[in-house]
Amino acid sequence: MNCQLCKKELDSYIEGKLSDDLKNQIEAHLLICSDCKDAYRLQILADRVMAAEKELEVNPFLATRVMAEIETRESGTVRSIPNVLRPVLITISMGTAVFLGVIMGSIPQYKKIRETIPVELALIDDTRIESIDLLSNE
Amino acid sequence: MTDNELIKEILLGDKEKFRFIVEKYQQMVFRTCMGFVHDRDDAEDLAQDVFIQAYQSLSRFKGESAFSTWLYRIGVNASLNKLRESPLKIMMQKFEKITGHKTEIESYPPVADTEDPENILIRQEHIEWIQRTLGSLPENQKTAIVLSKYDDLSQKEIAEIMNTTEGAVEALLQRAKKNLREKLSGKGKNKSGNP
Repeated sequence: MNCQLCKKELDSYIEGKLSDDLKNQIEAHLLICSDCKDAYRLQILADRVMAAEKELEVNPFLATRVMAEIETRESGTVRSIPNVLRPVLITISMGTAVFLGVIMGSIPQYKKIRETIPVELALIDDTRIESIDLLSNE
Repeated sequence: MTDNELIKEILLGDKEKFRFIVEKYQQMVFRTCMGFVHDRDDAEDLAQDVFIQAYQSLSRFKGESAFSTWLYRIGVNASLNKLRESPLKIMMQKFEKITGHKTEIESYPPVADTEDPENILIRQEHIEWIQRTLGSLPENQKTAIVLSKYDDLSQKEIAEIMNTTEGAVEALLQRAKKNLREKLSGKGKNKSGNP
């Protein structure tokens, strides 16, 4: 038994479709070949993933959802925004928000702030610790 | 009441009868969609779309094939269309699901409580990779493998759904299995971890 034949027959081996002779040969090969053993394990895992997905139960309210959707469509109540336009509108909204943020952030505020700063505060040198008396009215 | 009788009544205006159709086939349609998208929420949304499409085109069902075959065709086409959606659209849809959406990978395969967290991570990584590998198959191979593995359909039934011959389905299944085997073997070589 070589790796090529072993991997080719793995499906049939897992499904139990092989003759006893071939089955024994594959089992003997899997004991000595780590490459084929890894392939075998992954194939088993793939089968388990598919089996697990297959066993998932559908939401019991699906029929109600479908009937409600049909009712909505037939009563002429269409969605306010067609599905095709939704991504476009979301993108435009995000772009507008960013644009407004940038605009608002760049509005100069310093002049207004400077006008209202008291003279005492304007005298403070940020690079030095000033005496607290400077701010005192006494 | 048979499917054809139900359909006749629905077309005559008794649309509530469509609920029986949905209840009868919802698990089948959901399972097929799950085989393509590997995500419960997406599969349920798709299944809903499939039934609505079926309802809207019910008058075009001529009864030349079984109703389930016709429904499978709609399901397969809707699933393939979903997978063909642009990455941008998929990203926008994910963005809409702001509430921390998660796939179902935690639930399969069963993981023992005592299992090493590192092993769980490796296992989840493998599961996601296997889902991606299944998704990377060509459309017709993917369709054949989903209808075979998820719906347990015979080659004859798959051939009817795919409008092809049994021989072609057999060849598609062989190629799909070979592709999967090669891709999985490639993974086995790269990952010495315990799958």
